[in-house]
Amino acid sequence: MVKTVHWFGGLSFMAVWLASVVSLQGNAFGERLNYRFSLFTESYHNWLNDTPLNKDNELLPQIRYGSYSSADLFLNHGRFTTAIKALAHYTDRDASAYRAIIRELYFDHEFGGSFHITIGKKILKWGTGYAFNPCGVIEPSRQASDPSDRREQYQGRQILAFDAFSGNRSFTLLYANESRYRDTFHRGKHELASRIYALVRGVDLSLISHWKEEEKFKLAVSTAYTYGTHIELHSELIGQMGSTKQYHLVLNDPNFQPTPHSSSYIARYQHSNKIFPRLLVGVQYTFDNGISLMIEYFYNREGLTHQEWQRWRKFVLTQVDAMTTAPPDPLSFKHFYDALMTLDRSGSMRHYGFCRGYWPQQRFGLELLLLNNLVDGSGVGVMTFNYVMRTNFTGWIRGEFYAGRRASEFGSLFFRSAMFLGAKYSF
Amino acid sequence: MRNVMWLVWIMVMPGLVLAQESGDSILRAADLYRNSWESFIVQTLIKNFKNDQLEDSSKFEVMIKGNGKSLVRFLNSDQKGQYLLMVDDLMWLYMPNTRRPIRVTPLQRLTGNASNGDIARTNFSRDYQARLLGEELVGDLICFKLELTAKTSSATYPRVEYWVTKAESRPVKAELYLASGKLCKSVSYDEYETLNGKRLLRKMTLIDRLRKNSYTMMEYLNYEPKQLPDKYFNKDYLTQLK
Repeated sequence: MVKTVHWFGGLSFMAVWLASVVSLQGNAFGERLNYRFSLFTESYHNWLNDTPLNKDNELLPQIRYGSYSSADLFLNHGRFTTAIKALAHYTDRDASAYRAIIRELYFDHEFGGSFHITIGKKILKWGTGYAFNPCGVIEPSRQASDPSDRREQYQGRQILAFDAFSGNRSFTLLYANESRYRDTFHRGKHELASRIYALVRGVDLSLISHWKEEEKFKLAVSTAYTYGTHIELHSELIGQMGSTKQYHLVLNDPNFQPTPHSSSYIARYQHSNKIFPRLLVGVQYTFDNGISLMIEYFYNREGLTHQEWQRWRKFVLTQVDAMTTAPPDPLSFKHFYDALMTLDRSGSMRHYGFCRGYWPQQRFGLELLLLNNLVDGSGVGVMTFNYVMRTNFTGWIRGEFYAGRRASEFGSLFFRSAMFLGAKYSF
Repeated sequence: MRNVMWLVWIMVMPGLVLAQESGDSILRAADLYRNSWESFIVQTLIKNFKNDQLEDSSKFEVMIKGNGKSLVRFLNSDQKGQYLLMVDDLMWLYMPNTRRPIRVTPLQRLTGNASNGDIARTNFSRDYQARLLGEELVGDLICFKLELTAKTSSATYPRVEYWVTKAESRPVKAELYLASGKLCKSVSYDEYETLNGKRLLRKMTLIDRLRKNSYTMMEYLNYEPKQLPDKYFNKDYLTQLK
């Protein structure tokens, strides 16, 4: 019942809000209405991995099958732009959700022909990488195994931005803050970022700086260069002095024992003069028949070394043992859960390889993605076959396959493979 | 013997230069039927046929500025938000969900028998050098036959044979060849319309010579001269477009 109320509440909110935007804009500006509307549905089945980190799927029970549906509306009229989503997600576990989300909502004022001021929630796209986005300092963090965001789940950041465009150059200065009101006011951290973009002798060049309260100042550069008509080279490099990333204490001391009243995490490079770079280099080759092949390499010095990963894993397994032996340690689940959640998968390791092949045809498209941990050899492979049933109606089947030794990164994931069957209708 | 060769060379060379020069000027005149303004917008409707049955259709808004800049906006409901940008020799496809514009080539198929370059480029003179081969009768029209050879890497086809009327330099037909020398497509320029005193191409048909019984009709609708801002053709601006 509560869920139904939320569902109808979300829809009513969207309807009222939509009507107000359209009517307001219809009166205020004589510009045309741009919209995209799509209905998306996808059913999936996960085959679980019998990893010792989640033995018999008992410690953190995972979803085996589910169904995800959403209605997505993108609306632009004059200076207003928004992207809203209503979604329903049913699963075999008690994790079903119905929600309405405003992914983007911003006001964009253009003046003097070349200047823009943007205020609101917007998804920004900085940098040249495809699967990884080290230069995306104010972008939603992306999943390398789904870089095209097929479910359109990413959400914008709350920004106030100034853009200036001149020929093949542009300059952006922005302020971001994630303050929000949910029962009480939560003040977000202040963020400032700037970006200079120029096309110099065929090279796309961007210089980026980023400052965030309580974090390290970052400087970045991204490039893209097209060689002939088929090859494109791209790179991103971002660096900072020191790091505020939280590392588990077991990474410093293999014999570390967590206590109930003290944190198990420390920003061990908070005051270090060490430079922490993140580097992405990639190449894309496009054949005349449309087949494209992309290879990327990503390095993150903040990530764990192979030895640190093994220590961390051993610590997690110790907590698993403490939970499953009698009498179980009441705090071990907390330690276990925190350790899993803290490990940010995209930044967990240091060296990754990514490969994408895409074969587009008039009625269908075939995409192959491979994401590989270059140190332990584990990886994930994704294959998607799209079929255009009608001009605005597409169906697909997608398979994800995780492979690696038991102690490897992808071999330790809770899933072994997954199969998705979906369709999208747009109008 | 050497003197005779020099004499032949001196006699032939001006003819070759003249053929080149007049070929290029005919080509520039023929381009005006699709490229009449320095900056303009045109809606393009593409219909794909197989065995004379309409398979599908796509609509685009093509924005052209100068000789080397074009921006194609996809208008079909399933492709809304996508853009194809061509700046001089470089071409990118931007899809709203991907993080970055993706590099594509002019010859890559866009829809049916139409390649990216067929829609994004509305002139030949930027990418091709023309040589006048002579005169030929096409139907009841006396035409110049031109041989176009690619001079830039962004040319969609390496070689084109092009027929334009002798009287008005109006395109009548073209044959497009691949690098292998194989005939890839035949084009017929079917209909013209007059707008503000200018004769403009209204409809053309691309016939695939590699796939049987397949052809694509391209209709140009609503030519609109408009001063387009330079920022539209800035790759970085693609992410700002709606």
